[in-house]
Amino acid sequence: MVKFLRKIFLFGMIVLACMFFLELALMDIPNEYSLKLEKLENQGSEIKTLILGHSQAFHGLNPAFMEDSTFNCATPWQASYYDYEILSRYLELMPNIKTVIWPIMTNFYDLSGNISGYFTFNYNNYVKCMADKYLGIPPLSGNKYIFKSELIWSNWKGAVIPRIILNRGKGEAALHCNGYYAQYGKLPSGRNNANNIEEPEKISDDIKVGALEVIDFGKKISKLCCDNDIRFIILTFPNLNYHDEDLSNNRTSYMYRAVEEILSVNPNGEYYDYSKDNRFIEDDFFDAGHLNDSGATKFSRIIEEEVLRKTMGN
Amino acid sequence: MALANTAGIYLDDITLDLVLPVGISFYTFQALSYSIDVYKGKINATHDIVAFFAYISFFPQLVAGPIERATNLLPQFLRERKFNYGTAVDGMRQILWGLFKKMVIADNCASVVNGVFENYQYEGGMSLLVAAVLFSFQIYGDFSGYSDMAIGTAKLFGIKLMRNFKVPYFSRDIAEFWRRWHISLTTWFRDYIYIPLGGSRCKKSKVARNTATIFVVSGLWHGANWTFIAWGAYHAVLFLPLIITGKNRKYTGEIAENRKLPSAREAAMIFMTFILVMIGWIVFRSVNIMDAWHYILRMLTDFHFTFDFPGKFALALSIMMLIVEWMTRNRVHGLDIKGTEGILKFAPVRWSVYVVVFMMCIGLTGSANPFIYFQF
Repeated sequence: MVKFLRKIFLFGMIVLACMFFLELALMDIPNEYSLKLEKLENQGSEIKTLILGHSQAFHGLNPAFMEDSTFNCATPWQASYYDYEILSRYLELMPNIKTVIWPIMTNFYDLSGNISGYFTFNYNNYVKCMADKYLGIPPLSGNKYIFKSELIWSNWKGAVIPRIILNRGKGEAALHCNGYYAQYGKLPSGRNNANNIEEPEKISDDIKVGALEVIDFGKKISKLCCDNDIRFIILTFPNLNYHDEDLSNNRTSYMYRAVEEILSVNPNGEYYDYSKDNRFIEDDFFDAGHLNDSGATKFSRIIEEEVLRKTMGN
Repeated sequence: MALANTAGIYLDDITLDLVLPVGISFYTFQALSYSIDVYKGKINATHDIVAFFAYISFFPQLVAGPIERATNLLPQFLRERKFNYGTAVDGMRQILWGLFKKMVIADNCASVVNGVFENYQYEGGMSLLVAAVLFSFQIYGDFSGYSDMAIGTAKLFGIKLMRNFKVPYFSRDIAEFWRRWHISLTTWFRDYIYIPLGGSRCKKSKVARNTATIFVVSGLWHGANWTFIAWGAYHAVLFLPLIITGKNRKYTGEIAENRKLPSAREAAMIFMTFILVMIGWIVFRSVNIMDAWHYILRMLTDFHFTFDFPGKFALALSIMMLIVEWMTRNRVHGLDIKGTEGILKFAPVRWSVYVVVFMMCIGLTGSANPFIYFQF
């Protein structure tokens, strides 16, 4: 038994040493958090329009089509807590910021910092670790991560060793917000997200908790913009489901009530709803809720012309 | 749940979890095995309640097998056991190989398979074919990986569980496949259903009936879905000609015995058997029969060979697993390399292999997926 335990210990030590080197190798690879920190720290003064939010904003708004210097700081599944923290912590580094764009979707309550679920559990741990490690934003709940290990927490992004060998992750694409296809290559297209979102026919307690949290941080962002004379724009992105009338009025009206509440602290705040915009056809979508490259290009141009330029008096 | 609701009994997910706890089909079969064997006088009824419940609920194999027999497992709890270094080390190796099959093979295949099967109507034939191949590896890696971990864990306690998989994808016909796939369930059905029904020592029509019965019951065991029943019936259709013509025991020996590679004929038979099994897995994996039909139809009618298909990485890993399993096909598991000739006879080389495999489990794993057989 002693011999057995001794060998297990020795094996464990060798494995730990290997893990240590893998961790070091991972730290050499740029990731979405390190790149965004670099952008904020080194080019923050150039930013005039800041895009916050989740995957819809990240994949759907391409700064290349916007006239003012725009930085897309959205990240897939980014909770509103992180949106607020990024804005409040790095506002000083962006002295010329004029506009903040923040997305809201019908299932906005899913973007709570405490969301659970199988995918979100893995993803949440990754976000909590990386936001803590690179941006200095502690998790909304629970303790700070003592072991801010990308090796342990980044498995949801795919196998680690190929990322190290090929020296690439999704990180390097983090600043190129040009649609889902361009991001991930060939993936099953169609409406694969269409049925994944539960209809809150009855607003459950879980949904209420999530919604209250998102509204709370939405109001904080709204107020911060108001106090700093920054134009605050809330956007609802084009959604394929609306064309099929899949979504109930119940969920939409719940979102509208949230928008009203968020804008109640900012009289100059603006809201634009593109969810039912029939200029977007099925070919513009990666899935029900996300634009692909052509959709992102179209939408970015529309926002530039109809929202950003028009109201700026050009 | 649908049946209960039809009968006016409302079952929500929580109630169902209580009524049907995880692994129920596995330990129910073990309890049945004990009762039947005691009734038939194969073993004496035990008066040791601790040993009995240890047999029913032995934790490594509780949720997904192997389905043990009272005649094999129960006496092991009644005997005094001592720690055996060699067995424990081999157990650790088998656990590691099981981890590799689950985390590296099954989980990497799963992410591609799930995406393609959920959106098969948008995919081309090549992608559908690759996804079907990958699902074959996923379900094998997932299930046999769990079995290896269970058997390996049991070895640490000095308990020997029965082998559940014996390189099934190298089978030369369907009959051999069923002697190598989920062996504990197949032999359970053979011993407790097929033989009591008359087995193969009766008229051909009855043999056919008995065979069809165990395959359909085997499908039904996986769940109350027509896809499982169709999968069972499909295998019955493949198996029946062999048993009726008396060729079902044609391949009972080792594959390519004393040779490094199979003959061209053997390779062709292995390939054909794999294709037939893979078609069955499409039915098994699909949400319903119509989806399975459309999937197969689309795979055949919209097929254009191309290298632009998803899952190249998972496929490469699966092929690597197949190569290792081919090389160790006459051994108990893929890392059963002690005592082999060549470079592996040196301990540092073997240790390097173990470390590399473990690091692959950490660094090459796909996103985590629950074990498929936990649902059965």
